[in-house]
Amino acid sequence: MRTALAPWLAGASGVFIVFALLLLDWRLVLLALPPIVYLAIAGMRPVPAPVLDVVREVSRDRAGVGQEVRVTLRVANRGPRLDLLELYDEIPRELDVAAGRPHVALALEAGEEVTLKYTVSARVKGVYALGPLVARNSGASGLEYEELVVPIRTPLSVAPPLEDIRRAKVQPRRTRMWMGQIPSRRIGPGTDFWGLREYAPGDETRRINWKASARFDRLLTNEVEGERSGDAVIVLDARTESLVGPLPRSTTEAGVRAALALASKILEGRNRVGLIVQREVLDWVYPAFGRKQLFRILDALIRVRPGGEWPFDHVVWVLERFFPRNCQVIIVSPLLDREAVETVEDLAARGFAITIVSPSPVEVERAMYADDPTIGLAYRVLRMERENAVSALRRYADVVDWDPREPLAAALKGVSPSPRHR
Amino acid sequence: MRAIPLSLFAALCEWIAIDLVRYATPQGWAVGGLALAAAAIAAVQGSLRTQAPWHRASRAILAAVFVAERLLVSGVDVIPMIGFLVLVIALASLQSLERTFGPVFDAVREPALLAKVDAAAVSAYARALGLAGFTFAVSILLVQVVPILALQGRSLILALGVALALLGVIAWLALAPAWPSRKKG
Repeated sequence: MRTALAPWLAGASGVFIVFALLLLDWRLVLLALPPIVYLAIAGMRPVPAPVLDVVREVSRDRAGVGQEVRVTLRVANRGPRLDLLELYDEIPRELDVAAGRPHVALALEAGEEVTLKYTVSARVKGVYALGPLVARNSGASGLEYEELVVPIRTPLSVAPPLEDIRRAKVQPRRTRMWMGQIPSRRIGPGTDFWGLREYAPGDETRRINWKASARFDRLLTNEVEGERSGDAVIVLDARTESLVGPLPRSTTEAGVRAALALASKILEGRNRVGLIVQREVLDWVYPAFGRKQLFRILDALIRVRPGGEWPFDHVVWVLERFFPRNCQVIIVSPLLDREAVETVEDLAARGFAITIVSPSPVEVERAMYADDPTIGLAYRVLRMERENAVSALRRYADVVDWDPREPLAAALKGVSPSPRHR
Repeated sequence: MRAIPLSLFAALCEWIAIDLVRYATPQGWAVGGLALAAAAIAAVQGSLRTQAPWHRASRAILAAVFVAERLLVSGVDVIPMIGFLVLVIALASLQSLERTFGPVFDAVREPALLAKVDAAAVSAYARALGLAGFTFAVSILLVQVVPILALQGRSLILALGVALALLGVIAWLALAPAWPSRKKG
C-alpha cells in the first residue's frame, strides 16, 4: 500500500510541470524529475507482506482493578526478511501500560523470533480483550507498506475491588427454614439464650440449667434462639440516567463496588443472595448460597456498563414474579430521579423490607471541580435537596447516603439488623 | 534518532537563508525569514508530538520558500535545485523513520531488544539516505538526457505532449501499487 507521501510527491511534480507551461521555462520540467525518479525507484522493490506466527501469554486472565498483568508476545517470522517491521499490540483504552510498551520497530530475519513484554493494569472493571496484533512492514523510502492484522485476542476479566465491610450489620430481616446466622426470634438451634422450660426426657445434659434447677427444685433446660438464614436481593441501578462522574469514579462504578461488598458480606452469613442489574438489559442472578454464588454475582457485575433508558419500576415486576417473597431488597442507586423514589415507595407498599445504599452523586460531582464560591453554593443547595429526598425515603427504608470517596464500611455503621420503629 | 532529521532540516534552512542574504532585498529577507521560522516551528512540533501533519507542513513551507526564492530572486539553477529537492524528499523519509523509532526508543529498556531496534534504525536510515543518493544520481543523469530527447523540436504541441506524458507517468507512479516481486523457483 502507498503512504500519503506518494500523492504529495506526484503533486509536487505536477506543480513543476504546470509552472513550466505557464512560465514557458523548460528547466522547471527538469525539477519534476526527482520526485518521479524517487517514486519509480521505490516502486521497483516492493515491500513483502509479513507472514507471522504470534503467541500471546498473560500472567493472569483474572485481575483486580489496578492489579498489574504481564503480557508476553512471541512473534516468529515465517516469511522473507522484514527490513522494518512495526508491531503494535492493540489494548483497550481502559487499560494503562505500567511498564514496557506494546509497540516495537525492528528488522526480522526469516525464521527469527522476537519476544515483546509489557505490563498493563486496568483503571476500571470489565471484560477486555488484548489484541489484535497489527504488523506493518515499511520500506525505508516511506512510500510503501504492507500491513497484517493478526486476529489473536486474549480475554482479561478485571474485577472491581472488594471493600471490607466485615463489621457492618447488613443481613436479611426475615428468615427462612434453613440454618444460618440470623437470630430468628424463635426457639431452635443456635447459641443465644432464649428462655427456660421443664426438662424433658431426651434433653442433652449440657443444656440443663443447674442454677435455675437448684432454685426451683426441679430440672429446667435452657432454650436458645434459633439462628436461621434469609434471602436478600441486591438491585443495582446502572441506567444512563444514574451515571454521574467519569467512569472509573462514577456513581455506577461505586454502585458495583457496593453491590459486590454487600453480596460477599451477606453470603458469608449463610444467606441466599440474588442480584438484579438494570442497564441496557435487565439481567439477574437468582438467589443461592455460597462461594459459587459470589462468583456468579461477580461475573454479572464485571459486565455492568451504564446504559438503558427504561423505567426503574420494571424492577418491581421482576422482583414480584421471579424472586422469593419476603426477601430483603437492597437497592443500590444514586436516587437521581423521582422514579427511583416512587419505586421504593411501591416496593414498601408490597411488603418488601428495603435497604437503600446510595452513592452520593452530589459528592461525586463535587470532587470533579476545584473550590469555587459559585460551585460551593450550588453544592450546598444540591446537598439540601438530597437530604430532603433521603429523609422522605427513610419513612420506607433504611437509607445509607454514601460518599464514594469514603469507605463503605463507615457509611454502613448506622444500619441496624432489626426493623426500625417508624 | 531525532537529531539527524532535525540537522538535515537545519541545513536546508541555512541553505535558503544564505541565498536570501546574498540575493534578496530586506523585504525578501523578512518574508523568507518568517516563512522559515514557521517551518522550523512546525518541524519541532512534529518531532515533539510525533505527528505527521506538522512534519508535512514544515517540508511544504521549506520547499515553497526555496522554489519561490529561486524563481523570484536568485534565478533557476537546475542542479542545485534538484539537490535541494532530493534532500527534502530524504527529509520526508527520515522524519517518517523518526516518528516510527522515536517512541520505541523512549520505551524499550531491555538491552537485547534495544540492540535489535538500534540495528533496524541504523539500517533504515542508511537505506533512506542511499535511496536519496541514488535518486540524485539518476535525476542528474536524466537532466542531461531529457533535454536532448524532448527539446529537439521547439513546437508547442511537442512541449504539451512531453508535459502530458510526464503527468501520465507521475499519476501512474503515484496511484499504481508497487511492482510485483519476481517469484523464485
